[in-house]
Amino acid sequence: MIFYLIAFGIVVTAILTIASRNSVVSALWLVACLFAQAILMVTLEAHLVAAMQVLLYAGAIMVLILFVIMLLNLTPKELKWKFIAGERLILGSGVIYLAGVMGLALWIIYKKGASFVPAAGGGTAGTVEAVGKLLLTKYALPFELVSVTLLVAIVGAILTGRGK
Amino acid sequence: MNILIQSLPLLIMPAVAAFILLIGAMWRRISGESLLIMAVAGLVAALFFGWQGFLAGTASFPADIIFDKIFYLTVIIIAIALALAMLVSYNYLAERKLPWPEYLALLLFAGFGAGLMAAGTDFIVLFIGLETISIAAYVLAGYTRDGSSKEASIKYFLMGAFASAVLLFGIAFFYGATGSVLLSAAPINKLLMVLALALIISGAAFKVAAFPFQWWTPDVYEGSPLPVTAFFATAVKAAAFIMLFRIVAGISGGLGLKFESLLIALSVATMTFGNLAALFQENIKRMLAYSSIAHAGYMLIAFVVLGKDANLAGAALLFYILAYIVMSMGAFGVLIYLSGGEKEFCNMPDVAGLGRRSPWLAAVFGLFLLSLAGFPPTAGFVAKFYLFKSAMAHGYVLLVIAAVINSLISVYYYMRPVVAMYFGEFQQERSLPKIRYSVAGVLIFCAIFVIILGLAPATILAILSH
Amino acid sequence: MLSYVPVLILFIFALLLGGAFVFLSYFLGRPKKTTTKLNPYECGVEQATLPRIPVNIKFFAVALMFLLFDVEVALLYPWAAYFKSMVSEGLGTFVLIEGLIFIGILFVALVYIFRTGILHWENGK
Repeated sequence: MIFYLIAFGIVVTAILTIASRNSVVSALWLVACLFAQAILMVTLEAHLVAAMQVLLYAGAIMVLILFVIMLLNLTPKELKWKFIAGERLILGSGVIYLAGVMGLALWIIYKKGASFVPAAGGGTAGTVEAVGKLLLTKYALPFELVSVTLLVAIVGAILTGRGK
Repeated sequence: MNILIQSLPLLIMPAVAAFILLIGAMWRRISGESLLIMAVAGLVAALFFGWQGFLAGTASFPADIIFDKIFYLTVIIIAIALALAMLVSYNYLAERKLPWPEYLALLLFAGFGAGLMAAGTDFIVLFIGLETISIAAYVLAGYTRDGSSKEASIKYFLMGAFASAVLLFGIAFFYGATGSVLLSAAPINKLLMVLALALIISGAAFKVAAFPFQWWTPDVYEGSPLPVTAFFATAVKAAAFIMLFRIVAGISGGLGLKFESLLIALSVATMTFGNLAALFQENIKRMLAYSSIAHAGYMLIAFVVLGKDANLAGAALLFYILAYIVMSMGAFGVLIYLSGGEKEFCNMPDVAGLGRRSPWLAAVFGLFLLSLAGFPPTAGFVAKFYLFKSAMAHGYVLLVIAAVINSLISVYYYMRPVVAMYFGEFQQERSLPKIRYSVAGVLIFCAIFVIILGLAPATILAILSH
Repeated sequence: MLSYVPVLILFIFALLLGGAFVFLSYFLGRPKKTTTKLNPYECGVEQATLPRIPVNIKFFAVALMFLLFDVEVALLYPWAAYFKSMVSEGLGTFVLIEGLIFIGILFVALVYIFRTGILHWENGK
């Protein structure tokens, strides 16, 4: 029950995100959508992921999106309903994708015998403590390697953002 | 402590990169030459330690990483490719007054990413390596900041990010199917595993530019600065193939699933597309981009053989990668030699009459193109021969016939610049640039290597077949 | 799940408070709002330029850096939060060194950012 409530919230806010003309309003709806997703993650016992979703997506990435809106300086008037080239193709592939995902989901529900791997440790596997400890012990090496990737990304960000 | 020594070839690259980055930022007046020497010295050290590690043998690190012979060979190959890419870009960057420290650091970080892609035994390490090399590649594509370069960067970034997402989605399904991110994990849920494999192979096929996912290649290769294109065609491609090798070898170990026919279809479609599209290109850079797609198709043959004989397939693939690196680096090197301080000259008319104006340059360019086409006394021939022979030995006759027909088609477009060089008239008066020693050195190195690999491949093959 | 109840209460209070202020000002304030009144005031003359101007590209670079360091902080969050319990499990030194290497690598990035001068607003370089 609670899942359908949250899912409904996600869908509605997602539609509002793409339907509103003012890009800032759109961005704010996106925050709401990301937040609803974080709640969904909490109900799935993925607490650390939920926290990161709020911190990174609803926080930092939204700041980035707002800056882009300010950089591009879009006024609501300029955003009109436009038909893009190959519109039918995009629509068609969207429909095929949706049908595929839905079909697959139904197929898996139908074949229910196919067992999913249960999360090790039952309900406590997704807590911040459990995931954090895994991150620091079992996945210590990837944890270090990510910092190098971040370093490369920072160098790249400075190079691209330096202007000329 | 032993582990630290074993991983030195991998660690030395980011260490030198960080050093160059800092020293370049701290001390602005340091010349590009000294930074370049530092970077190349770092790569030579990586090569040396890689060779030492290769002699010492396999060392396994807790869980996520393995330092086996394939890893050390990859590090050696990548170090060679990166050093050549750095040397070849000396004049190009100096004439355009582009910043040095970031360029060298990004290349070295890319080498680190490539090393991770060769060493990872689980998807997390592979993905981190892939992202490291990809981010460096996106930034390098837009390095000159002119219109086409920026366009290439954005295109590469959007497409690449999408492909990474697909790959990651596949990895998530893989975890769902097996309950582990280890490559060798056995699936509990077959249905999810099929889905995971489809997504993972799609994502990886994008990175190696295999058939239905190759559309980004020509635009990105054409728009990027020439030395960066040379880097894409050599180091990035090699790393992507090694990663695919790790994935396919790892997965088919724990899985009864056959996807041989998929790989055959992928291979034939890729080489046919690349060769047919390259036939009528007027821009040599774009033509070489399509040719790199075609060569990716040939290299995919090794993955078909992989299921039957992993050692043979690995040796054939590594030899092909090595040969492809030297010959395409050489071909791009000639274009870099010809390019002016402001513009790149990559069209067919730009090389017309080169045979009379500078016979040596025309001769090496001809050599590299012949090698790419696969003519006998060159590296390209031996690489193809060895690869086709290994496929033949396991009974993939039709596949080999398709590949040979493709090689014949490719002769046409590789010969077009040669014909233009020796029989064409140059259309505009453009004086050749002064002698560019670093590029000339790279060209001589590549030419000698192409001939050595072509005439006496036995030693290197023996090393690679370990 | 129960640990999220305070978050929920905070949300409800924030909504109530914000809603109350809007509600109050709607009733207590003067409700006559016309298009003319909402125009930006420019000495009585017709508005000549749009009030929205594009911001400097440097803001974007700063936002990107903020994002990347935010990722760092998010990854370090479990390191900081569970350090004590890791020490009690005898993993103290390992985890400490691990975190310090992580921070050290990103410290290189910080030094690089400071020295490239992208944070210097005035000299335009």
